[in-house]
Amino acid sequence: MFTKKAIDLIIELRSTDSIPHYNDGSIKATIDEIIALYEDLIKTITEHKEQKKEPYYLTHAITFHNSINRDKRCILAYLNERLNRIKEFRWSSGQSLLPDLLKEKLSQNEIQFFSDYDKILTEYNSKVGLDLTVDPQPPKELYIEVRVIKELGEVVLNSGCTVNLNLNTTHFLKRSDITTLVKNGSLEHIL
Amino acid sequence: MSYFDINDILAEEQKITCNFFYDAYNLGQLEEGSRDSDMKKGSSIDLPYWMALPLAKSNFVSVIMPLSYQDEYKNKLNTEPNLISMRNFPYYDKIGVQLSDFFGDRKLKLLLFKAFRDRFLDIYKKSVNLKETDISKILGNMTYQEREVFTYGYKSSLEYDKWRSRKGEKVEKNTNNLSISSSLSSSSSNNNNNNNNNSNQNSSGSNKSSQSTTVKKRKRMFDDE
Repeated sequence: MFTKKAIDLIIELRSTDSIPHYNDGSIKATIDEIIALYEDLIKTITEHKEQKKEPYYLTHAITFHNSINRDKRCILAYLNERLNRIKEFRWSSGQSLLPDLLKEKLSQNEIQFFSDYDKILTEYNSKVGLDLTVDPQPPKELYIEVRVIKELGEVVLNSGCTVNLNLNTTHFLKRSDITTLVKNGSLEHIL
Repeated sequence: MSYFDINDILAEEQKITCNFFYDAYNLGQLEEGSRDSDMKKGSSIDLPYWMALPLAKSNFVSVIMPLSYQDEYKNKLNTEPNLISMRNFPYYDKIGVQLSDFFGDRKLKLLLFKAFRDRFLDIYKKSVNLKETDISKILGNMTYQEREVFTYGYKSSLEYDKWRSRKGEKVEKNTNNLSISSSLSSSSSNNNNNNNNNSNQNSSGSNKSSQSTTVKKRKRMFDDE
């Protein structure tokens, strides 16, 4: 049956919330299938030029043509969905560097995409003068109290001041400066 | 149907039994275990919806409504909509609408609408009231569209609780586990305003992103197939 590999790609993507390993093998196999189907289709049409409107051949042509389109759609959807998840990662984590765990799951092009996307977003943020990934909703207070749960040592914050973030100390800091640190689990917000 | 939507693509995999009116050149390979290179006239075979549609439009095949949309199942759906498990038909409503156009069966559309309306109240109640239970089993019995409704209700009730306990302003650790495997992130989560299961932590962590993406994300999370 055609398009089996392509559907497996989609199912693989649906079965998880995160970004699965880039399935190079299946994509290549699907592309090979497209090429094989295409050559077969062209061969049939050219060999039977006279009778190509007869149902006997037309059924063949329709089936193959649709299978090719289906394969194409599956691959495009697969890649598109992965890009969406990469973008989502950039927004939710606020990190401009890919962690190694994630990086090894991406293809070369996707890594390139991430860094380009990051560049655009960072440039926009610096022009606006606001990190858009930090506060999707307006915060109530500018300063929050945090406890350090991972030893960080001396850290220079975005606003320019230097803090000593030693383990189990609490600090009263500007919210926008340390949101990223709270998000990646180094600090804890105390209410 | 959106071109890039992975659920739409999978919905169109619904198998439909097709009967070939003519011999077909070199299509024997569609049938598993067939030794002929050609498809014989009159042979019937299960084809996915996306392939059956163009063939039927050109009048090369006759199509039969899938078993799950025939009277027996429809009657069940009509009488006991809440008791039916959609575990085996995760796209029942989505592809059902397409099929009702395809087969010219307007009644099917009305039935699907009625069934959804009846199931909706139950889904809504569950989504708002079942906060500290394992919801993966409940989700398994719903179609993907119903899961979307459920996750909206589920998420908003969690956020309401958070607001009531004055934790709404808390900056939290990002529990979005895109980069790390789910076991790692769930064990190291410092989300202390609810001690629910893993899915709850994810939902409260993902309130940083917009609502629609959150729901999409949660929808994916509960796929256990």
